[in-house]
Amino acid sequence: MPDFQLECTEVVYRIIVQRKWLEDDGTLKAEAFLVMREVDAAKGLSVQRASLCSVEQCMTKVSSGFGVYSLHVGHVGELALEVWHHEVDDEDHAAIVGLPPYYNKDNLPLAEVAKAEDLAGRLAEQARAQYRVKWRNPRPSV
Amino acid sequence: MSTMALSLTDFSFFPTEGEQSRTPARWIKLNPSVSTHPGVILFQSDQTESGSKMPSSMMPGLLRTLRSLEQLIGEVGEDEIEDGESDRPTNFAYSSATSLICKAGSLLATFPSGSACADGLAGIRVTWRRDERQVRLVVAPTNQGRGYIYIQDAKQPRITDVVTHDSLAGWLSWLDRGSEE
Repeated sequence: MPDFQLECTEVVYRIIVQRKWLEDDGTLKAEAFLVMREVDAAKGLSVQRASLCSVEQCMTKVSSGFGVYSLHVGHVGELALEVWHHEVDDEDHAAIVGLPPYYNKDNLPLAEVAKAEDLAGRLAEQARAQYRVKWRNPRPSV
Repeated sequence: MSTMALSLTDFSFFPTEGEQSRTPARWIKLNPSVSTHPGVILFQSDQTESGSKMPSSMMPGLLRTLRSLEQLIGEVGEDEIEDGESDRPTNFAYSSATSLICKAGSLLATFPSGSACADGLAGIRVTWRRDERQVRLVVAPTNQGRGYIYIQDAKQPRITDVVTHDSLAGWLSWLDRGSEE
């Protein structure tokens, strides 16, 4: 199936893989939506499609995590961002496209840094906790 | 470096004449010209500048913020590091952030609790929240890198790359005033 943009009715999950993305009280921080890697700038910020991947299945996608938060694609679109499925990825994977490349902040115009902060903060406000417990999956035996 | 959308001239961050009765007696009003930011009226403690004797009302939030900073240096975090990320801040970032926050604290009667984290680029991010408002301080890993203060509120986000202890104090005071405005 070729690349396609998700419908605004879809829900996606952002897996919280870093403890620093959460405040002590569990509030999601803007840091969860800053683009920190070149690959994420090119493909978008990883999310899972709720229609094809349950919260429990999200937990198997990473070696360890701290929570799973949901976002409505339609609300993401209100920020002038898009959510795409890329053909090369698993069917249940998607990516939020349009966030500034924060990892390169030293070379961005200050307005673009502000945009990255603004969008990341708004996405963090939109996101709703679906699961908020630390987990670690056993390493596969060699 | 340029500064954009930092509007400090339309309001004062600190208690004005009529509000001084609410500030501790040991806080004195300085000549407004002391501030490098127009429109900002600074207050300064009559204690030493070392920060060793700060008003007790300031201590909890300031101490929590500094403790949060210390944890970035002192412990191995729980997070797994992704390729290309540096999750341990440089000594420069740590000492710069600590200095900025301590000096800002010396200008304020109360200090909100902030939470610090590594920014993944060897710098430091500190976030202060109150209701819908946030102040985010970003400290670069070296003096060549970009640091800034980002201000989020419902009306208009703002950013400045002029990162000084008095600009930080100004924004933290603005945050602390919350719905009073």
